[in-house]
Amino acid sequence: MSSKELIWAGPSGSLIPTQCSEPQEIVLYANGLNDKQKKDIARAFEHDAYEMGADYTWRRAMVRLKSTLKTLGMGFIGEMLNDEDIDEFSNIDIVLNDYSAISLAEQLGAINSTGALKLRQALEMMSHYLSDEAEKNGEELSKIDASSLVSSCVKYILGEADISIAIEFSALRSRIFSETLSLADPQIEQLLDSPPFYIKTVVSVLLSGIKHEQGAAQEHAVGNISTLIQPIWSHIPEKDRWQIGNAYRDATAAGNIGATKGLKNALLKVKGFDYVPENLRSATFKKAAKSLIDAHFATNNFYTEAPLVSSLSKLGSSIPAPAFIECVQAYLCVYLGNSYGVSNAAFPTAKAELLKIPEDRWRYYFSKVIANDEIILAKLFNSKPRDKFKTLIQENLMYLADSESFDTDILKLVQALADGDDSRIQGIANKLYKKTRE
Amino acid sequence: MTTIEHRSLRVNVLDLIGKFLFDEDFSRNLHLSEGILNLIDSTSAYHEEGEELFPEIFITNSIDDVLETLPFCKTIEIADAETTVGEFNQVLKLCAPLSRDGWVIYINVNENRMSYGLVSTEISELSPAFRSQAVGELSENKDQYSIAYLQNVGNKSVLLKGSETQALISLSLSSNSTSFGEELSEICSSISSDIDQNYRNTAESYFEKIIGEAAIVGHGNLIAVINDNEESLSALKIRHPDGIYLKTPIDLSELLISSEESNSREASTVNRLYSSIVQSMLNHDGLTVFTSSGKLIGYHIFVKPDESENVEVVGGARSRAFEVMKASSVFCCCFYKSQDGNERIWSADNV
Repeated sequence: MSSKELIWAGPSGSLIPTQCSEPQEIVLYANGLNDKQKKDIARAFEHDAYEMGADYTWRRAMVRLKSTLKTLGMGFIGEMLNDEDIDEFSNIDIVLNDYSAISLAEQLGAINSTGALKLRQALEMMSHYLSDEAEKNGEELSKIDASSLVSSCVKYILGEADISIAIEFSALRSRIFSETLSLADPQIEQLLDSPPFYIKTVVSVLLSGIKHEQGAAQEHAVGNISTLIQPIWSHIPEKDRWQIGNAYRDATAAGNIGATKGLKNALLKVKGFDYVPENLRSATFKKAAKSLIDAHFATNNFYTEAPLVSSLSKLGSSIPAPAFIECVQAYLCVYLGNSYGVSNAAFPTAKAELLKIPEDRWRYYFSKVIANDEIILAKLFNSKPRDKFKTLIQENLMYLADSESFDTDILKLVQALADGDDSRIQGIANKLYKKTRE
Repeated sequence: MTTIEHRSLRVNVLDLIGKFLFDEDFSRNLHLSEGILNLIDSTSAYHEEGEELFPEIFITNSIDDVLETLPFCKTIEIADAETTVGEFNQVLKLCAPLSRDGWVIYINVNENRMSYGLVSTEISELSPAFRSQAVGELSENKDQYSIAYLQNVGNKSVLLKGSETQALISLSLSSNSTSFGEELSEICSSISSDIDQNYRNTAESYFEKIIGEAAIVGHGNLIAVINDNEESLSALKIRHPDGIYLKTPIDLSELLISSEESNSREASTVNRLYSSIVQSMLNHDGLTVFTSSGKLIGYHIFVKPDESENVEVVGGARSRAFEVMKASSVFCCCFYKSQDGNERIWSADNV
């Protein structure tokens, strides 16, 4: 395998014959379901209960995905999601929403990027049709949409009798905790040449080991972050650099000497102490932003976003630097909405808060953050959120269009947004999105 | 005519400070070595308004570099002045009464100017003390700056510690040499030995912090550890009945774990409250007893010799008590700190 190849990637999905277009035919290929479950789904579709059939299929797929992720341990999942409220005693069905489960499965190579993209689209569709608003407007899931959802679920999750975490990932994770690796190690050489998507996954694995493992496993994780930090630092997305700084602060607060020493040494090597939060104020902002993003990707988001965006805005207009990325992402999610529109109740607050963000912070967001902000880049694939972003730039952020400090692709994206050139926006967003993982 | 031989403690200590500053790569500065000498002299027995104070002080040539690795550090600058020996005395006068509860005095000395004030790195009751962050096991000074930490560690003894070297300066003429540090680590390790492995290291550094603080401000301590079982507790009560045995032991390990897991204000406050009362118990007369699982089970315990035990009767009351504790076969580890700062440790495993 050349070092340019991906170090682990999820399977491209199980094969469904092209002539199968009816949901009840597709579901026969769901080897992960038992006969009764297949029959129940087929029966729902035969009786034109598309919503019921699609909802049941979706739920079975998510249960399956989450139970696979659970095998890695909830502490590890908490670290991967950078959520300190998740620990070994957490219930996966409560703490892990469908959106995060799909992202995590992609990160760990249980499904590939195309699968993740399709499943996210299916989630958005499912959330919309199950919402109060859709019910009020009498909108119903069409047979075509239901077929597409069932097809994605079967192809990427329910098709195989077992889905599993990528072997390459599991092997690397196990090596990280059982030996101190050198930069000359072929697996490390390959990692150093990989996109940020893989590097940030390894950073999360290392932090999880340093914070939660004991004895030799912790020592190996400390040794490995010390070896890797310098070569990977310039490839680590801003959000994940804050995660390292936060881990150092947490380890100090917990009196975890081994972890504190290891992380301090690593941050010293890259002069990374600017990424250590000075106080706990940012944690409150981050938590509120996370709740808002979770609501945005869940059912009934157009109703649930309003109180949460209001709570976030009431925390104060000056967002602490360590929480800026999460907060701007949350406000943008509400402002851009999804392919079905925006929450009318939440939109004005999100817009007002975005307009309060000073110029230097917008420049920072575009120069350092958006290239790795998969959530916002993916929003630009759909016309409604794209239109909202164009308006934001054209009416308020035109000064960004002649910024010389941006990377070429980012500058092109901003200019395309300013010009309202849909096909260029979509093309550049797609290129940036792929660049994070290919 | 006979000549008078003159030996000066001042010259000796000044010589030691000079060597220390050279080893720690401080630039030559007469005000600095004289200033440190004055600080050592003053802190070795510092009183303000009749109260004995135990200020912690660190001196550096680059405060920004020291604090760079500790972004959560809180700083209060008190003054900025010309570097003179007299200003070092002023530092103590202005800052010593404020140096308590985790606040440490800093002095940033350049060739001509010095600034000083207070810093605190504590972000929770479990976070390591400033000493271990700046000159202890957590210090990561890559020759970026020079640092000297000094603290009165017992009657008339001052610890002077840098990144490379350390010295214990005893201003007493008593023959008892003072030791500092390792004995404390050993007793804390014994108190934590049966605590859940996931929390053992945290517990050890937590006990080092609270017992270390109590030992510095106290006038001598006796601490012992028993195995955490009914037989050991019964044997202890039979052999040493004269003392206060708590009906409900203070389970410090449980408080610590709950504080760490619940991460709540209430758990943190409860932890601070119990830490404070444990420190007072440690400084009460008599022996304080912990179990090997981090529970405080009794204090103010007076040990008496038993005729059947072979005890060497030497030294003062605390020293004799320590010998009785060793001989009484009920403890797995015993710690002694005399009023003049001398520490001793005994472990059943090493007998």
